[in-house]
Amino acid sequence: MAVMAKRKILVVEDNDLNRSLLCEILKPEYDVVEAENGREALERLRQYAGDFSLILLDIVMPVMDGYEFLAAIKEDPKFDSIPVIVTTQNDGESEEVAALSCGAADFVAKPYKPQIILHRVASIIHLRETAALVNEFQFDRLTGLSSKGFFCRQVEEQLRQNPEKEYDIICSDIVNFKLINDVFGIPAGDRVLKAIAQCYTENTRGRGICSHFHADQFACMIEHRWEYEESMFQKAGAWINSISQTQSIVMKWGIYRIEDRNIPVEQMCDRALLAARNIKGQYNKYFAYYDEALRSRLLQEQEIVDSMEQALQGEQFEIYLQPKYRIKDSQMVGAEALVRWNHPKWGRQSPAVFIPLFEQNGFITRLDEYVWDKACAVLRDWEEQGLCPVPISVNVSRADIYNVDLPDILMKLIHKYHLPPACLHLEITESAYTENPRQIINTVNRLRELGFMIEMDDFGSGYSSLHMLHEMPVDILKLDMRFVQSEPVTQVNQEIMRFIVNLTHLMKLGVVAEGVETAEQLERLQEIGCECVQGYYFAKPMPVKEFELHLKKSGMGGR
Amino acid sequence: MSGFQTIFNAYGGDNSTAMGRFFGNEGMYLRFLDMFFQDESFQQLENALDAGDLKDAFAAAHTLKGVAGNMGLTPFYEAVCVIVERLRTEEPRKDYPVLCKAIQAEFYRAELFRKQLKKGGES
Repeated sequence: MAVMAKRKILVVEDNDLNRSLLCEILKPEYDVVEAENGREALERLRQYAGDFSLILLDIVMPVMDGYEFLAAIKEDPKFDSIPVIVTTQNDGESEEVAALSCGAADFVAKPYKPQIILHRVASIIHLRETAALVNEFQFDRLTGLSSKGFFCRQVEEQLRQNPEKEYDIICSDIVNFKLINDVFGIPAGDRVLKAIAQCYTENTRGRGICSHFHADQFACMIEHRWEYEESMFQKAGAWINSISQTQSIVMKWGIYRIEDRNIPVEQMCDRALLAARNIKGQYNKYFAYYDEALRSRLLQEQEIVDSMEQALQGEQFEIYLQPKYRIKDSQMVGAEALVRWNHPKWGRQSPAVFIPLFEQNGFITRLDEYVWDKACAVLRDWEEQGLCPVPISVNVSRADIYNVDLPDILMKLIHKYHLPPACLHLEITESAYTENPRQIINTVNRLRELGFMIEMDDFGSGYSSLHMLHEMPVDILKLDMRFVQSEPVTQVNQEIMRFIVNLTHLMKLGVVAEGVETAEQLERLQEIGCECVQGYYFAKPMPVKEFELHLKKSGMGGR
Repeated sequence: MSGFQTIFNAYGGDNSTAMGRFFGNEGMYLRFLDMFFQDESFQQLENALDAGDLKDAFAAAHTLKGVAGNMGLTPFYEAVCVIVERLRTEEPRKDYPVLCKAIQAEFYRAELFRKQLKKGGES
């Protein structure tokens, strides 16, 4: 009778006694290989070409300890699937937690309990072998397409066999797929996925390799034969919607043209997906190429994100003030605080570059607080210089309003700098109100009760109903600059603006027109009764020191 | 009760758990007990404490604790546990020599225990 080869276990432990004892415990059922420290264990792994079913690892060892060893094998694809059980002292969780978080599969405590060790070893080995089996499954059960792993191998093979042909990788995902599962149920979600799979197979039949990666991510590789057009992907989307009996599926497609075949297939797919993700939120845009421009933009964005924390600590953000004037007597009546980033390497950065990123990653709340603090400091300074201060408007982002502590944060600042709340105007964009009106209205009401002035920014860009406007806690409307700047000037446009201005009078609200750049625009605003203006026609945003000169000149300085 | 078991219990060791670890094999236990006295962890602990190297001292004490635990030498094990907990934070303390003395004393007791076991085994 043939004897089945025993599974091999690597025991890594520096102490002779402990190691020998472990070996005694394991010997009846396994082939045991010993190592005295992490470095020796790596040598054994190489010597046996990773042919171990399991590693039993001590954590505290000289030369190379257990954590270093774990890190080393997790980095090596040849060894990273070998499960590791860590042997720990039975004294507190920290060692065990640390080991598990470094990728250990389980732990056993000293003093050893042979039966427990044998059972854990057996069940971890079983688990890993089963998982490995599942990973080998080549096809996705739901859609019948290749699994990701299998897809990558197929693509590699095809590229190897056809060195002269050119290929594209196309990946897609669905905008808000989780929402579809949530709203319409898992079976409906599955129907959508099957429809997408069908779309992929039918459109690439005989010429491509298709895969369902996971969730809503699909990929295929086809020979590069044509340039792609929006209409192709728009049609595919419509077809998927009709087959799966939905209307709400929006798909974004990314294309990676394979040029450098040394890049791992998985990375090629990641790049195609990055291109797809990059057009999320762009209506009527269905596909995008991954190209150098996108790559360098993503890298630049990453650099911004990497340096933002340091920039805040290092006071690289500077506030600029843009004056607001009253038309009838050209009096300066306020200022809007805007932020500039004086980057030590890249120079002055426009907010258009970094604000959208910070809004995405949440850093905007920190930057806003920073700006509020600086604006309050400026107001305090004006008090002390004996300048007659004008109120400063600061931006309050959507994310800030959702913070329940917002009133407290602002009041703390007001107290810190001994200021009346009314000298700080809070600009909240109109579209924030339409998102979650009840909650926003409650928060903003609270801020008004505390004495802050509320300005509704970009009015006319969102979709507030007139009825809503009546309920909204607002003191001043800021007319969206697109109204002011719209070209050509039409009678209807002018009448809409007149209507809004009349409305503000009726509701006893202040009104400020933004983005005024020409004398004609100013004239038109004056004609319809708009009181205050802000824009390049009068003054650009400027550093605080420069603003102070304007403040003095405007006849309001000195008391 | 066998002589082995009696001596074990008299010493204050955890006979049944420890022997379970050695599959009830007294000969194997004695072989490992000999290894215990060849183990250098205790010496390393003393040296490290003398040199004021608390990190190394902790590593040595930690190993010693594991080994003593595996051998079921409960009184020795408990003496080591005290110093392991103190050394964990690597805080310089005045009582390390005293704690080390206590381990030393338990070391001699364990040696006596080994002699008795060997004698008991022969009788």
